[in-house]
Amino acid sequence: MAAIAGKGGKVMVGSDTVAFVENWTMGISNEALATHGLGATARTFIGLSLPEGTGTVQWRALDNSDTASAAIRAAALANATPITLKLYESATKYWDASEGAIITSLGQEVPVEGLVTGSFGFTLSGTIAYT
Amino acid sequence: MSTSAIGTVLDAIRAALILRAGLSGVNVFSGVVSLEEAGLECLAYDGGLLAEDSSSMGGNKLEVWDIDGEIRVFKPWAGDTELTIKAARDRALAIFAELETHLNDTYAGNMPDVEVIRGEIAGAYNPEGRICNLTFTMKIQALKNP
Repeated sequence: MAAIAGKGGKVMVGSDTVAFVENWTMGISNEALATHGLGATARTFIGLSLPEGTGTVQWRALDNSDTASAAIRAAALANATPITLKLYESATKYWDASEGAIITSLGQEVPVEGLVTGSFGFTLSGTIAYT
Repeated sequence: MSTSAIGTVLDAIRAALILRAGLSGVNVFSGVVSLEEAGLECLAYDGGLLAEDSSSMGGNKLEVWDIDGEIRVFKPWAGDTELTIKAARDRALAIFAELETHLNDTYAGNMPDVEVIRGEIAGAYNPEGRICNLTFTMKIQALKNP
Protein backbone atom coordinates (compact mmCIF):
# COMPACT_ATOMS: atom_id res chain seq x y z
CA MET A 1 0.00 0.00 0.00
CA ALA A 2 1.40 3.35 -1.03
CA ALA A 3 0.94 6.62 0.81
CA ILE A 4 -0.77 9.18 -1.37
CA ALA A 5 -1.17 12.95 -1.17
CA GLY A 6 -4.67 14.35 -1.22
CA LYS A 7 -3.80 17.11 -3.64
CA GLY A 8 -4.02 14.57 -6.46
CA GLY A 9 -7.70 13.94 -5.78
CA LYS A 10 -10.75 15.39 -7.47
CA VAL A 11 -14.52 15.18 -7.57
CA MET A 12 -16.43 14.65 -10.79
CA VAL A 13 -20.08 15.18 -11.56
CA GLY A 14 -20.71 13.29 -14.75
CA SER A 15 -17.82 14.24 -17.00
CA ASP A 16 -17.24 17.61 -15.30
CA THR A 17 -14.69 18.20 -12.59
CA VAL A 18 -15.81 20.23 -9.61
CA ALA A 19 -13.44 23.21 -9.55
CA PHE A 20 -11.22 24.05 -6.60
CA VAL A 21 -12.15 21.17 -4.33
CA GLU A 22 -10.51 21.66 -0.95
CA ASN A 23 -11.48 18.31 0.51
CA TRP A 24 -13.99 15.55 0.38
CA THR A 25 -14.99 13.00 2.95
CA MET A 26 -16.95 9.80 2.75
CA GLY A 27 -17.97 7.20 5.27
CA ILE A 28 -19.53 3.82 4.72
CA SER A 29 -21.66 2.30 7.41
CA ASN A 30 -23.32 -1.06 7.69
CA GLU A 31 -25.77 -2.46 10.13
CA ALA A 32 -24.93 -5.43 12.32
CA LEU A 33 -27.86 -7.65 13.31
CA ALA A 34 -27.61 -9.59 16.54
CA THR A 35 -27.87 -13.36 16.22
CA HIS A 36 -27.21 -14.46 19.78
CA GLY A 37 -30.06 -15.95 21.71
CA LEU A 38 -31.03 -16.89 25.22
CA GLY A 39 -28.23 -18.53 27.09
CA ALA A 40 -25.58 -17.07 24.82
CA THR A 41 -22.26 -16.31 26.46
CA ALA A 42 -21.17 -13.78 23.86
CA ARG A 43 -22.81 -11.42 21.41
CA THR A 44 -22.75 -12.54 17.79
CA PHE A 45 -23.82 -10.63 14.70
CA ILE A 46 -24.31 -10.86 10.99
CA GLY A 47 -23.97 -7.93 8.64
CA LEU A 48 -27.03 -6.59 6.90
CA SER A 49 -24.91 -6.25 3.75
CA LEU A 50 -26.66 -3.07 2.73
CA PRO A 51 -23.84 -0.55 3.17
CA GLU A 52 -24.68 3.13 3.18
CA GLY A 53 -22.23 5.74 1.93
CA THR A 54 -22.50 9.40 2.92
CA GLY A 55 -20.10 12.28 2.81
CA THR A 56 -19.33 15.89 2.07
CA VAL A 57 -17.39 17.89 -0.51
CA GLN A 58 -15.99 21.35 0.20
CA TRP A 59 -14.60 23.69 -2.38
CA ARG A 60 -13.11 27.16 -2.58
CA ALA A 61 -13.55 30.12 -4.86
CA LEU A 62 -17.04 29.01 -5.71
CA ASP A 63 -18.72 31.17 -8.32
CA ASN A 64 -21.64 28.84 -9.00
CA SER A 65 -21.24 29.30 -12.74
CA ASP A 66 -19.43 26.17 -13.88
CA THR A 67 -21.28 23.11 -15.13
CA ALA A 68 -20.50 20.86 -12.19
CA SER A 69 -21.65 23.29 -9.51
CA ALA A 70 -24.76 24.06 -11.53
CA ALA A 71 -25.62 20.36 -11.60
CA ILE A 72 -25.04 20.09 -7.85
CA ARG A 73 -27.20 23.12 -7.19
CA ALA A 74 -29.98 21.83 -9.40
CA ALA A 75 -29.88 18.45 -7.70
CA ALA A 76 -29.91 20.05 -4.27
CA LEU A 77 -32.91 22.21 -5.08
CA ALA A 78 -34.89 19.49 -6.82
CA ASN A 79 -33.45 16.56 -4.90
CA ALA A 80 -35.11 14.12 -7.24
CA THR A 81 -32.64 12.68 -9.69
CA PRO A 82 -29.32 11.35 -8.41
CA ILE A 83 -26.20 12.85 -9.97
CA THR A 84 -23.31 10.78 -11.22
CA LEU A 85 -20.64 11.40 -8.62
CA LYS A 86 -17.08 10.09 -8.57
CA LEU A 87 -14.82 10.76 -5.62
CA TYR A 88 -11.18 10.46 -6.65
CA GLU A 89 -8.55 9.90 -4.00
CA SER A 90 -5.86 10.03 -6.70
CA ALA A 91 -5.69 10.51 -10.44
CA THR A 92 -7.11 7.05 -11.13
CA LYS A 93 -8.66 5.56 -7.96
CA TYR A 94 -12.18 6.57 -7.07
CA TRP A 95 -15.39 5.72 -5.21
CA ASP A 96 -18.82 5.83 -6.79
CA ALA A 97 -22.20 4.12 -6.65
CA SER A 98 -24.19 2.39 -9.35
CA GLU A 99 -27.14 4.78 -9.10
CA GLY A 100 -25.23 7.93 -8.35
CA ALA A 101 -25.69 10.20 -5.37
CA ILE A 102 -28.48 12.18 -3.78
CA ILE A 103 -27.51 15.70 -2.74
CA THR A 104 -28.66 15.97 0.85
CA SER A 105 -27.30 19.39 1.73
CA LEU A 106 -25.80 22.45 0.08
CA GLY A 107 -23.97 25.23 1.85
CA GLN A 108 -22.09 28.38 1.01
CA GLU A 109 -19.94 30.69 3.08
CA VAL A 110 -19.02 34.25 2.10
CA PRO A 111 -16.53 35.68 4.61
CA VAL A 112 -15.55 39.33 4.40
CA GLU A 113 -11.91 38.28 4.71
CA GLY A 114 -11.15 35.23 2.67
CA LEU A 115 -12.42 33.13 -0.17
CA VAL A 116 -15.98 32.22 -0.87
CA THR A 117 -16.45 28.53 -0.17
CA GLY A 118 -19.17 26.03 -0.80
CA SER A 119 -20.00 22.53 0.34
CA PHE A 120 -22.51 19.80 -0.27
CA GLY A 121 -23.48 16.60 1.42
CA PHE A 122 -24.44 13.43 -0.40
CA THR A 123 -25.73 9.93 0.08
CA LEU A 124 -24.64 7.30 -2.38
CA SER A 125 -27.36 5.29 -4.06
CA GLY A 126 -26.99 1.75 -5.33
CA THR A 127 -23.98 -0.51 -5.14
CA ILE A 128 -20.94 1.28 -3.80
CA ALA A 129 -17.71 0.51 -5.60
CA TYR A 130 -14.03 1.35 -5.35
CA THR A 131 -12.33 1.35 -8.71
CA MET B 1 2.56 26.52 -12.66
CA SER B 2 1.07 29.80 -13.81
CA THR B 3 3.07 32.96 -13.15
CA SER B 4 2.43 34.76 -9.89
CA ALA B 5 -0.14 37.53 -10.14
CA ILE B 6 1.95 39.90 -8.05
CA GLY B 7 3.74 41.60 -10.94
CA THR B 8 0.56 42.23 -12.88
CA VAL B 9 -1.27 43.48 -9.82
CA LEU B 10 1.46 45.95 -8.85
CA ASP B 11 1.66 47.21 -12.44
CA ALA B 12 -2.10 47.69 -12.56
CA ILE B 13 -2.23 49.51 -9.23
CA ARG B 14 0.49 51.92 -10.25
CA ALA B 15 -1.07 52.53 -13.67
CA ALA B 16 -4.39 53.40 -12.02
CA LEU B 17 -2.96 55.52 -9.21
CA ILE B 18 -1.02 57.84 -11.50
CA LEU B 19 -4.30 58.70 -13.26
CA ARG B 20 -6.16 59.68 -10.12
CA ALA B 21 -6.80 63.39 -9.78
CA GLY B 22 -6.23 63.19 -6.06
CA LEU B 23 -2.72 61.94 -6.64
CA SER B 24 -1.66 64.68 -9.01
CA GLY B 25 1.94 65.54 -8.27
CA VAL B 26 2.56 62.29 -6.40
CA ASN B 27 5.37 60.16 -7.75
CA VAL B 28 4.18 56.55 -7.76
CA PHE B 29 6.58 53.66 -8.14
CA SER B 30 6.26 49.91 -7.80
CA GLY B 31 9.73 49.58 -6.30
CA VAL B 32 12.26 51.27 -4.08
CA VAL B 33 13.35 54.79 -5.03
CA SER B 34 15.88 57.33 -3.81
CA LEU B 35 14.89 60.54 -2.05
CA GLU B 36 15.62 62.45 -5.24
CA GLU B 37 13.34 60.17 -7.23
CA ALA B 38 10.68 60.39 -4.57
CA GLY B 39 10.43 64.16 -4.81
CA LEU B 40 8.11 66.05 -2.48
CA GLU B 41 5.35 63.46 -2.55
CA CYS B 42 5.80 59.80 -3.23
CA LEU B 43 4.04 56.48 -2.95
CA ALA B 44 6.31 53.48 -3.49
CA TYR B 45 6.42 49.80 -2.71
CA ASP B 46 9.43 48.35 -0.95
CA GLY B 47 9.20 44.59 -1.08
CA GLY B 48 7.07 41.74 0.11
CA LEU B 49 6.69 38.36 1.69
CA LEU B 50 4.94 35.40 0.12
CA ALA B 51 2.97 32.72 1.94
CA GLU B 52 1.64 29.95 -0.23
CA ASP B 53 -0.27 26.78 0.38
CA SER B 54 -2.24 24.15 -1.47
CA SER B 55 -5.60 25.65 -2.26
CA SER B 56 -7.46 22.80 -3.85
CA MET B 57 -7.08 19.43 -5.46
CA GLY B 58 -5.24 19.29 -8.74
CA GLY B 59 -2.26 21.36 -7.63
CA ASN B 60 -3.93 24.76 -7.32
CA LYS B 61 -2.16 27.19 -5.02
CA LEU B 62 -3.30 30.16 -3.00
CA GLU B 63 -0.60 32.80 -2.87
CA VAL B 64 -0.77 35.51 -0.24
CA TRP B 65 1.65 38.39 -0.59
CA ASP B 66 2.27 40.97 2.10
CA ILE B 67 3.63 43.93 0.15
CA ASP B 68 5.20 46.77 2.12
CA GLY B 69 4.91 50.31 0.84
CA GLU B 70 5.58 53.84 1.92
CA ILE B 71 3.97 57.21 1.42
CA ARG B 72 6.44 60.01 1.90
CA VAL B 73 5.43 63.64 2.03
CA PHE B 74 7.71 66.62 2.50
CA LYS B 75 6.14 69.96 3.36
CA PRO B 76 8.33 73.07 3.42
CA TRP B 77 8.22 75.35 6.43
CA ALA B 78 4.85 77.07 6.55
CA GLY B 79 5.67 79.72 9.10
CA ASP B 80 4.40 77.68 12.01
CA THR B 81 5.66 74.40 13.44
CA GLU B 82 2.30 72.77 14.03
CA LEU B 83 0.89 73.93 10.71
CA THR B 84 3.84 72.38 8.89
CA ILE B 85 3.55 69.10 10.80
CA LYS B 86 -0.18 68.95 10.16
CA ALA B 87 0.18 69.76 6.48
CA ALA B 88 2.60 66.89 5.95
CA ARG B 89 0.49 64.42 7.92
CA ASP B 90 -2.80 65.42 6.32
CA ARG B 91 -1.38 65.10 2.82
CA ALA B 92 0.05 61.66 3.63
CA LEU B 93 -3.34 60.54 4.94
CA ALA B 94 -5.06 61.94 1.86
CA ILE B 95 -2.73 59.94 -0.40
CA PHE B 96 -3.38 56.87 1.73
CA ALA B 97 -7.13 57.39 1.31
CA GLU B 98 -6.69 57.60 -2.47
CA LEU B 99 -4.88 54.27 -2.41
CA GLU B 100 -7.51 52.60 -0.26
CA THR B 101 -10.34 54.03 -2.33
CA HIS B 102 -8.79 52.64 -5.49
CA LEU B 103 -8.26 49.21 -3.95
CA ASN B 104 -11.76 49.14 -2.49
CA ASP B 105 -13.40 50.15 -5.76
CA THR B 106 -11.29 47.95 -8.01
CA TYR B 107 -10.75 44.71 -6.15
CA ALA B 108 -14.33 44.14 -5.11
CA GLY B 109 -14.86 40.44 -5.38
CA ASN B 110 -13.11 38.50 -8.10
CA MET B 111 -9.61 37.28 -7.42
CA PRO B 112 -7.05 38.68 -7.01
CA ASP B 113 -8.07 40.26 -3.75
CA VAL B 114 -6.13 43.31 -2.53
CA GLU B 115 -6.49 45.26 0.68
CA VAL B 116 -4.44 47.29 3.12
CA ILE B 117 -3.94 45.40 6.37
CA ARG B 118 -1.49 47.55 8.31
CA GLY B 119 -0.23 51.08 8.56
CA GLU B 120 2.20 53.12 10.59
CA ILE B 121 2.71 56.84 10.61
CA ALA B 122 5.88 58.64 11.61
CA GLY B 123 7.13 62.18 11.34
CA ALA B 124 10.62 63.43 10.70
CA TYR B 125 12.35 66.77 11.09
CA ASN B 126 14.09 68.57 8.30
CA PRO B 127 15.69 72.05 8.57
CA GLU B 128 13.58 73.15 5.63
CA GLY B 129 10.28 71.64 6.73
CA ARG B 130 8.65 68.46 7.96
CA ILE B 131 8.35 64.95 6.58
CA CYS B 132 5.58 62.46 7.14
CA ASN B 133 6.23 58.81 6.43
CA LEU B 134 3.21 56.55 6.27
CA THR B 135 4.26 52.96 5.84
CA PHE B 136 1.68 50.32 5.07
CA THR B 137 1.25 46.69 4.11
CA MET B 138 -1.04 45.44 1.39
CA LYS B 139 -2.28 41.88 1.33
CA ILE B 140 -2.63 40.49 -2.16
CA GLN B 141 -4.29 37.11 -2.58
CA ALA B 142 -4.47 35.22 -5.84
CA LEU B 143 -4.97 31.70 -7.08
CA LYS B 144 -2.38 29.93 -9.18
CA ASN B 145 -3.16 27.00 -11.42
CA PRO B 146 -0.74 24.20 -12.17
